[in-house]
Order: sequence, then structure tokens, then C-alpha cells
Amino acid sequence: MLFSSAIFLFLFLPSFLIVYYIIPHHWRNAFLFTASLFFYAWGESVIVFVLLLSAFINFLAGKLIEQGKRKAGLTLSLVGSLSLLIYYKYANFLVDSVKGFAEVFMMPITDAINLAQIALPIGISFYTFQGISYTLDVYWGRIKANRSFLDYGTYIAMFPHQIAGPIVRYADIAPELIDRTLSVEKFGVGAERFIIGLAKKVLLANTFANVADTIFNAPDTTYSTGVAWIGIVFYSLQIYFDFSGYSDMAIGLGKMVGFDFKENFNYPYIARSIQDFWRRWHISLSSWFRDYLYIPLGGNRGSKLQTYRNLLIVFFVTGLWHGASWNFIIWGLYHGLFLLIERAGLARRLEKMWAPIPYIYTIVVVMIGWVFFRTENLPKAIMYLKKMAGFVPPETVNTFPFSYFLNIETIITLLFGLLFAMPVYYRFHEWVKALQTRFRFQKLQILFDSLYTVSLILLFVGTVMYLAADTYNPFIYFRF
Amino acid sequence: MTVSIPRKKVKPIRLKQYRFRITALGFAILLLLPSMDQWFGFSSKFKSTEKRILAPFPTFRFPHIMTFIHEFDQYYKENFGWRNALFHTYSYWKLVGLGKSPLPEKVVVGKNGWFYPGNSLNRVADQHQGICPLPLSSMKAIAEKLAYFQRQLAEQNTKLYLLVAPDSYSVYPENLPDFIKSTKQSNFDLFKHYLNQHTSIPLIDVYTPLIEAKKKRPVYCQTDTHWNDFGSLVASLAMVNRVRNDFPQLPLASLDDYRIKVLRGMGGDLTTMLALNKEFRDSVTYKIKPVSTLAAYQIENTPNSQMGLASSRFIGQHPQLPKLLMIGDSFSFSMNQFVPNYFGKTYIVRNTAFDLDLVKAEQPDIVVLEIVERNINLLVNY
Repeated sequence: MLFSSAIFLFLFLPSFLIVYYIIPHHWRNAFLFTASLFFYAWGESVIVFVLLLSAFINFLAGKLIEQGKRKAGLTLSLVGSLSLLIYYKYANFLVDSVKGFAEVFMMPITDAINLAQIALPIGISFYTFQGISYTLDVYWGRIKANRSFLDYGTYIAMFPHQIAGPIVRYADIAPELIDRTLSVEKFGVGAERFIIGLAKKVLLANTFANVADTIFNAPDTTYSTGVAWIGIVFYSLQIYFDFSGYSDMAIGLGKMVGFDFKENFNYPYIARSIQDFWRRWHISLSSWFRDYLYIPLGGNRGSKLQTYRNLLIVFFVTGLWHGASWNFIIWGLYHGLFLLIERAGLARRLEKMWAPIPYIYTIVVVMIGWVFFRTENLPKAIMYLKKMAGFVPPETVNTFPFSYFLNIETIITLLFGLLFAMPVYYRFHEWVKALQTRFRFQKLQILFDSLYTVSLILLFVGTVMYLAADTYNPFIYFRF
Repeated sequence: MTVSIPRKKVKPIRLKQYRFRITALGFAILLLLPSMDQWFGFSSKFKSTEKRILAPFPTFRFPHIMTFIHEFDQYYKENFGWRNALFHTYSYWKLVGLGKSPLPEKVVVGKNGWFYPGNSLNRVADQHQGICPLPLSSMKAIAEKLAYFQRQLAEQNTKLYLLVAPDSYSVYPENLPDFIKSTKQSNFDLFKHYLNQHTSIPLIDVYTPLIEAKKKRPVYCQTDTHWNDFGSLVASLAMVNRVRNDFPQLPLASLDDYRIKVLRGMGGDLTTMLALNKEFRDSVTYKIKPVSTLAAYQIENTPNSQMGLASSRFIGQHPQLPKLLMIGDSFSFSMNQFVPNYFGKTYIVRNTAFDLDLVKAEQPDIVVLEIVERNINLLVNY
């Protein structure tokens, strides 16, 4: 069940919220846990037991650690959680890779290696990392283990962050798991955040996706170098608004049920270096890798070479976390390489350069990296990069000229995309707040807030209009 | 010494609370509105124009839980409250506000109020841009198939003709959007060339007369995939006169045989798909009647569940004239009004297959196989 689907918006969410707000306070975790399992099972059926198994393993591990069986607990958590992740997410990739190597070196084992396609449980990467962070925090004595599986299960399975993150740490929401407040205001804050996230996903990301998908799926003879750049610019905006939109929806839903999740994005496309980019992009993941992999590996406390090694390991795993394919691994290592170069001295030079240069450097590096992220395989990525660089002969069939993509809709969406990729909206609110504090014209302020809310409501209706269009499938002739 | 008078403390306004309270209320109402619409039918005047049965409420059959879930998902997706009203608004906003097709795969928005079918109809837009040229192997297979039909028909002294109804892309390329560049050699050009070189099957050219006729009046619907009644008449006359070359006993077909009345146009199948058939209509429609000495009589009308268009049988005013069997698609439907006027007996069948048994049973003198340009490749399966 997607957040951007009618069934979630108009059936699951209102039904859930009505019951959630009516029932007594001490039943809420049980209801949230049950509803979250129902939400998961609706799309994934019995795979919900994988989620439950993963949650149970880490819950047990936490208890073992607290009972003094520290090594046993930690081993259970790491082996248990990671084996589920490896089996469901990476087994096919591993087998295919081994098979590929065997074929290249003409080894006679090719036919002997076979594995049926394993379906990837949605959100497994998120809940596995949440589980591991919990046991590691218990192991390091940062938090106490939870004694109630119901509470712990609620943390892991909670539907707002279940399928697309952010990676919420137990330590961050432990107090709210025990006692949280619900209020109309908090619900309103969450609703505002949810509407903005939904609009980012449906109005911006999906429009960017239409353009990017058309270009990336087209034969390379049908578009020019300029169009290839349009493709990657639109894809860069698509992935940002898609992912940050989902995070906004998760944060908004969290607030509606009384939780405060941390921010996951901080305008990554205004970063001045790749290091800065990773402080702003998918913050919950990068901070997870920093705290649970980079620092345990030694971080930057050892020699320069050790630091570089640690960085490359972290970004190799970061790439692999995003998907089981060589493209993701290369994407991760590519980012790791630039971080390494920045550490080696580029960062200092960037700081001294003319202000626009670091921005341009970062955005170009990031966009080139997205080519590996978007394309299905390495040959396609290389072909697309060649096209962007103009190393491919001019197109033979100019099916997709500039005019195909540049129309009122894409231009407006692009302008909004660029505007909202920068902290303009944030600054606007800051400015309004400052004005309100300074002048205190109550009627004017009420008028502004009313207009703002009406705009939000119209934005929601407009977004749902686009969702309705996705479900409309007419035919020329009657199909009865 | 001056004593500063403390400023009167202004009571802080709890504006944040106000904003978030009304947002909360508005959002809660919005979440509930679709369910209320399903119960009370507020938006019932907005009907679906999808021309299909929307998913019904599923029946739960234990233990098939996942089947129920999938069916329920589909049901809710297609039946949630305000859906049709929301789509109508979306469609209007996209088309009028942004100048874009609300459903680009279904409908291509052209210039000057023209609409064209999109790629969902056998990749018609791609075909006209030369992205999917008709493979030589397909042309060979089609030619062999048609030649086989021709031989079979010749055994019973029946002559076979092929009529390809041009797409609106070919007849009105000037109104296509700028991003669609027509290919120099269309699939039909390739096919015609191949057929002429490798078979003796007569191909009836209706393209040239249509191009000539469009200088006088519109021959295709602006909001529909088909030719209008005037275009259909022009194509019918061209067809009859081509057949007449081989059957000189047929009367000469002429525009003078008809009285043409111009009426206000209606929304066609393309704008109906966009749910905008009331807002976007053709500039004209025609009411065309043959002179009374020519009109044939319809004696049978058989509904066709496969295509939704009925097959019809006619008897002309001179039953001794040659007998025609026409097998065609929706383009042949409007030809019902014109073609039978020139034959002794006419049977116009809506079918997507060449039924040899039917031809043997009917024993016609002439068989015309009609197909729209974008579907030429489907002749392989006839």
C-alpha cells in the first residue's frame, strides 16, 4: 500500500486515525503495531513474517545483551538480521555474479549454479538497519533493552517509516514509545508536512519521472547530447523529490500518531562538496553508516590510508545497500572516491574558490553519479555518459527533440523543482514568522494563515486529481 | 535621570495553533470526503467515460486472501469517491491550462483543435515517426496470406480487393504537434510498394481522393480517430469506382448522388476518452442522404460482441447487380450509408479475421477487405 494511493489516503488512513484517536492511550501501541502489520501484509502477504522474525531476533538479542550474554546477543542480531537481508536482497545477485565470472573464465560450473528468483520484501533494508542499530546501542550501553515485544515491534513495524524510511533509531523515539502526546495542533503540523510530501512525490517527482523515463528508455539514436542532459537533470530532481517527499510523508504521519522523526534531507543540491552532500542527503542512512560502520572501523583516527580504506568500505556498502547490482556498487565507490579526493586536499581548495564553483562541482559530480543509479547495467551507463559528453555520433532519428520535453508543464515543474530544491520555502516561513512577531496585526496574520491553509488544501486536492488520473484507463471501443 | 516606561506586554498570539488547527480540520474532512461521496453520491453527475466495466466489489473466497486483496485494491482504485470528477478537472486543467494531453498514451493533442490517437492504439504515433517500421518478414507473411485468400476466392470467381483507411496522421499531418515529425516513408508506403511488387492484389487508393476532398470540407473528425461522414463518402465513392473498373455493370458513383447537410459537430471518441467530449467538439458534422432512386435497404443487423459494431446486410435497388462482401473495422461502419447503394446485395461484416467459410457461404462476386493504416501489421493474423 503506497502512501500515494487512494486506498491508503481515503480508506486505511482515516479508518486508522479514527480508531487510534478514540481508543485509550495504553492500547495505542498495540493498535499501531497491529495496523502496521496489516498495512505490510496487504501488499506483502506472508512476507510479513520476515519482518516479524527480524524484529524478534533483535528483540531477543537486546534481552540477551542486557542479561550479560553480550557476545551471544550481538552475534544473534548481526548473523540473524544480516542473513535475512543477504538471502532476500543479495542471494540472486551473488549467484548471478558468480555465474557471470564462471562464464567469463569458461568454468564448467555455470549450469550447476541456479537459484530461483527471490522476491525482495519491501523495506527489509530499513528494518534490518533499525534492528541492528538497536542491538548495537544496547551493546554499547547507550540505551536499555526494551522489555515489551509489543513496544519494540511497534518501533520496527510502524507503518509511517516501514517501507521507505527514514531509518528511525530506537534511542530517538524510545520516550515516545512509552508516552506520547496527541493534539490537534500536532496533527495539523503532521498534515501540513504530509500534504507537502505527497505533492512533492505526485506533482514534482512523477512529472520529472515521465521525462527522465522517456529519455532513459529511448534508444540512444533518438536523442541528442542536450536531451541526455535534460534526462539526468530531471532524474536528479525526480529522485530527490521522490525520496524526500516520502520522508516528509513519513515525518508527517509520525506526527499525526505522536512521534517526532528526525529530518532526512537538508537541501542536498545546495551542497558545496560531496562530503557536504552526504551531510544533507538521506541523513538517517549516512549517519547510520557513520555511527555503526565508519567509526567502529576506526573512522579517521588511524593513518590517512586507513581513513581512505574506511571511507571506501563505507561507500561500497552504501552502494550495495541501495540495490543488489554492480551499478549501485560503482555509484557508491564513485562517491567514496570523491570523498577521498576531497579529504586529500580538494576540500580545502574548494573552500577558497569563487563561490559558485564548489556548487557546480558538487552538482555535476552528483548528477554523473546518478547515471549509474538510474541505468539498468554498466554498458547502458557508459553509453549514456558518452552521450552526455558528446562522444556518440549525432542521432540518426531525432525522435525526441528539445521541443518534445520543453512545454509549459515541464517548465513550470522544473522552476518549482529548482525553487524547492533550495531553502526558499523554509526562508519564506522564517520571513513570515519574523513579520508576525514584529507587527502583530492579528487580523492580517489570521488572514495569511487562512490563505496558507486554503492553499495547502488546494494543493492536496490538486495532488489527488493527479492520482485519480493514474487510475483512469479509457478505451476507444467498448470492452464489455 | 529619565525613567523608561516599560512597554505594555503584548499578549502573544497563538497563531501557530490557529494555522495548524484549521489545517488539521481541513485535512480530516478531505480524508473523509471520498467515503462520503461513495455513500451519498455527491459527484454522481460525473460519469466514467472509460468504455469498460469498472472492477466490482470482490467476493471473499476462503482461503484466497491475496486474490481478495488484489481485487479489492483494483475495486477501490476504480471506484473511490470523486474519482470521475477529479479526473474531469484534471483533464480540463491539463488540456486547457497546460496545453498537454491528459492521457498522452491514449490521445495526442494537435494544433487548431485537432486530436490524434496515441501510442496505445498499435503504436500509431511511433509508426508515423518511423520508429517502428514494418519488418520485411511481416510484409512477406501478409502478402503470402493475402495471395492465398486471393487464390481461394478466385476458385469461386470472387475478386479480392484491399482498402487501407488512412490514419488522421496521414491526411492531416499539418495539425500534428511540433514534436511529432512524420516519416518520409510510412509503413503503408512500404507495404504498398511490397504488395505491388510481389502480388496482384488490387489496392484501393482512398488517400488521394481524401487529400483532394479535404480542400473543400473536413474529411476527418477533429476529436475522433475516424473519418467523418463526408470522408467516408469520398472513400466509398473511390472504392466503388475502383471496383467498377473490373465490374463495369456497376453504376458510376458520384458526389451528385447525395444531399449534404452541415450540422454542429459533436465530441468524438478521443475527447470522450479524456472526459471532455462536451467541451471539445468537432467544428462540423454531416447528415448525408442519397437520392431516393439510389438508396439501398438494410435488411439485417447482427450485433458483434467482439468489436461492438454490428454487421449489416443490404439489398440495393437493382438486385441483379454484383454482390459485395466487405470485411472491415470501425472505419467501414459509416460506409454502410454509401457503399450498398451501388451493389445488388451487400453484406458488411465487422471482423478482425478473414473468414473463408463465410466467403464460401455468401458466394459474393466481390470481397473488399478494409483495414485502418495503423493496423496493417495485424493482417498477419487474419
